Amino acid sequence: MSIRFELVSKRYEGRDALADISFLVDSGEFVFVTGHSGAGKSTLLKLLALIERPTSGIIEVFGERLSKISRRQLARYRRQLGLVFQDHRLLLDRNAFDNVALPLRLDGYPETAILRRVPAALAQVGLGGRESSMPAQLSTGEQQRLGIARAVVCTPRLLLADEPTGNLDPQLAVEIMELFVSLKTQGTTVIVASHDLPLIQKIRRRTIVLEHGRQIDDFRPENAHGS
Amino acid sequence: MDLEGASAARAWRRSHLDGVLFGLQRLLRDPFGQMLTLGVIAVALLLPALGLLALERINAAASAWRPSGDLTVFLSAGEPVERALELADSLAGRQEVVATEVRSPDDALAELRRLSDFAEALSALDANPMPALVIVRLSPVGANRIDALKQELAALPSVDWVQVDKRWLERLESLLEAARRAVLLAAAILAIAVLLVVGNTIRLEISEKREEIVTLKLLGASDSFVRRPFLYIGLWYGVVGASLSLLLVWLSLKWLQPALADLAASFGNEVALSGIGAQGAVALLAYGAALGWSGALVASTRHLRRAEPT
Repeated sequence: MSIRFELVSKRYEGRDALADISFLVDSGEFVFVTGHSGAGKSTLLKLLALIERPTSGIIEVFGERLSKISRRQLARYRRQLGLVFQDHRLLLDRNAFDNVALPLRLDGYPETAILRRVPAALAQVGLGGRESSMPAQLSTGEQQRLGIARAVVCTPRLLLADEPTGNLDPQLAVEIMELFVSLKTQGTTVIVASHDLPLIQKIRRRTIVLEHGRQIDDFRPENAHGS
Repeated sequence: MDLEGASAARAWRRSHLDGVLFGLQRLLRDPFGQMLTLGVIAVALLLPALGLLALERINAAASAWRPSGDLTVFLSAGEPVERALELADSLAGRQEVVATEVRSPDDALAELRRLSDFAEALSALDANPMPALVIVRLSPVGANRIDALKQELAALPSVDWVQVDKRWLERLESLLEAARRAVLLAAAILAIAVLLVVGNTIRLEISEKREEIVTLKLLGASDSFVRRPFLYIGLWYGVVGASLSLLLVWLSLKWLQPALADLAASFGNEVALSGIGAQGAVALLAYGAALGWSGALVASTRHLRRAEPT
């Protein structure tokens, strides 16, 4: 088992962003988290990335209780994650290569491995040959893909993606999702927050549905015909 | 070393190298924009450096100007002049003694007659009351060493008493000590100013790079990894500021040299302000680097904690 949520709640200024969320995710599983804007999708990912701490409840990731991870251990924990942000969060003064190489360098990969893995990751998202481009020279969609390349380059144990296809055309969005699905072969657990229902229906994977911070459904398409 | 340890060491080396280059690039990118900070550091280092250099030179010059005949050893009445000669011989070989001079009782009486108004009264004496004495000229040693030598000589059975004229020396040394403390106090105050200036510059850097810092933390960068480039910026500020300070020291000495040479010449001495020297220059650079690093450490530790992802 990769992730355990047990009665997890997050409250902001008297308002429940998440209330009593419970679910289990197996290692290598691909899960969509969906719901309308404000449903709590991003909050759920922030709890997993330890950007926020829950108000109550238990979260375990790879058998480790997140509440026990101290500030000093936070960096080590986050190096196991691949994060894809809605706003890309690229380093604007570094080129595409250096942006993607960053997680590898933080993890102490040798330069030979970095020189091999970064172009491969860029090629996977359709940015092959754009190593020296600066983020400002890329379109919004290309920046999105650069962020995705950075998230997958380390083959993370857990990939958390917040609306990763928001700026991509439908065909490219499907390709990126297929890339995420393919990470299963390397043992990566993938959680994608998205409100793109056509895409979710096309990919046909387990989906947790949130509404106003509450979990209203958790279905696997192969078991949930007609839902 | 295991694989994880090797990776950590590689990441550590790489981040230090990146930090050194990042800090240097930051300074080179806008050197004139950094002139205010660098100028404050340079002046803050220049003043104590010049002060300490001046004290060192005054001390050296004062040593040359010290009066000779630092110690006068009076033998007991009735001791023959041969005893004074023996004492002078035994002292002549010592490191702290430059020269000795023996005065017989007759010489001493003659000098007293010549220098005082009691020549007639002295002629009426039946016997010469003056003892033999040895004048000991010392090399430039501190007042404490003179005291030890005085005690040693006074303990000799043939010696009646030992006179030391060191008031001038004590006053000078008190003045130099007070000046040295004043310079150190000024250096400490100016060091705090450097810490504050560098700290404020680093605070602005952190504020400017807040988004990047947050991203780095989200990607798993440790606090020390994030802090490192800012420490190197501080270090470079210190080193470049200290280099400017060295230039200012050199220019100041060039400007002061003719006036000081004239002053020294009026005392029959020569003053050569040779500069801060290689050792002093290295010490000043190291001091500047340490101040810059410390200022950056304090500021970055404080302000990076606030740059958290939300």
